[in-house]
Formats: sequence, structure tokens, C-alpha cells
Amino acid sequence: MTSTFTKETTDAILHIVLIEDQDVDKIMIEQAFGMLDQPVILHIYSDGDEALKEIRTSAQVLKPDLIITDLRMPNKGGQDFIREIKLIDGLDEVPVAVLSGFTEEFVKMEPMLRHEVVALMGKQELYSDFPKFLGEIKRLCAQIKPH
Amino acid sequence: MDDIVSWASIEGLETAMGRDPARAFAKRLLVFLESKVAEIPAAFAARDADAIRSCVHKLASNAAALGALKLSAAARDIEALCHAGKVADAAAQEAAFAALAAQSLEILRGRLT
Repeated sequence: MTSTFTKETTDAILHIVLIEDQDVDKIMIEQAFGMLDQPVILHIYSDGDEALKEIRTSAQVLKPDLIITDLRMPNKGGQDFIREIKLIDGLDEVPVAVLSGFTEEFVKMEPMLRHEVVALMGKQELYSDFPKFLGEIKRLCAQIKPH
Repeated sequence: MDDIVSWASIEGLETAMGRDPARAFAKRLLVFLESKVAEIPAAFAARDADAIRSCVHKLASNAAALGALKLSAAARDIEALCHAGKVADAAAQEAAFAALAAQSLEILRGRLT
């Protein structure tokens, strides 16, 4: 699934991959990206397997500028996804941010993987403090250099 | 905030989006929550850990997004029981959980519709 948020701006379009199995979380994150000034195309997948397959296939044509992944998902979870994406030439440099409803999972993450990610975002902020979450998304996108 | 629903979530949406768009968005989330609550009896009837866990996992996020924190926490507790293989303990929570879900929906509908 793809959501396009185009704006009247000369800014480059950011291609962002979101891997999230929860419908409501997808809707809320889509809403946040739709509120950015920067044009964004959000490529949404429901688990790590689906995302890896699609990203590998399309990487020659379109490399994502940022990947945001949930940790707990059916099939391939976030940690396994990050481990695999970091082994793929050309995709290993794509920044990865982690989103989880269980912040204790951040502590449980393998230190090497935790070191690889550019942001750890708790879903509690997504739910209870949407402006703060929106601010984090803005900061994250401001750091990205579009390909 | 009352015991069942915290309005901070919806107020946060209002701050970010403006009142009317936030209300419309929250109503959309409420429709999702209603559909998830309607799935509770079938999920628990199977007495199957995966079915119950899947149901409460989705419901937990949805409830939290609307500030129904007590319901979200109860869903997380049941999810943890399923994760630990304690299906009978999880199933024993059904009546209280369904009642809390109904109560939460009533409060949210009162505020949003």
C-alpha cells in the first residue's frame, strides 16, 4: 500500500517505508506524515517479510530514504528485518527508525542492532502526545538526505 | 481524565490538527475500536492463545490511541497471559474485559458523537 502526500514545494520527495501490522497505528502515522510540509510517499507493509521482498525487488529503481519499523509483528519481526536489511548492499546505508508499543523491547534489542538505528520511538507518544510524535517525525525527516 | 478514558490523546490530536479534523479522525478510530470490540466473543470462544492474543493486541493499540488506557492495559495483560501460555487465565478475563470495553465505548461515544 502506498500513500502519497504531495505539496506545492520544490523539496525532493521522500520515499519512506513503514512496516507496521496494526491498522490504527498505520492510520495515525499516515496522518502524521500527511501533516509534514515536505512531500512524502509512504510505502506501507504489514511485516518484515513482505517489506524485505518488495524492497529487494524495487531497490534498483527506488531506494527508500528512511525505513520505520515496528518491532513486534507476525512472521518477520523488526529485529530480524533490520539484521537482514543491513546485510544488503546498497540498502545497508538506509537509515532505520524503530517504533514499538513496548518500550522495554528497546532495552532487549541486541546492542549492535540498537546502535544501527537512527531513532527509537515509543508508540505511547503516538497515542498520548500526538504533537510530540509529529515533532519527532519532523526532526527525523529533516535529517534525511533524499536519494 | 477519568478512571476509564484519558482525554489527553484526543486533546493532543486537536492541538496538532485543529478541533474538527481531530474529532473526525478520532471518530474514524472509534469505528475501528467498535469493530475490534465486536470480535472479542469469537476470539475468546476458541480458547486459542493465538486468536485471543491477536484480538487483544490490535485492541490495545486502538484503545490507547483514543485514550482508553484502562482497556488498553487490560488488553496488554491478557496478551501477556497468552504469550506465557496461560490461555485459561486469559479466557477467565473475558467477562470483565468485555464489560470494560463496553464501558469505554460508551464514554467515547458520549464524547465524540
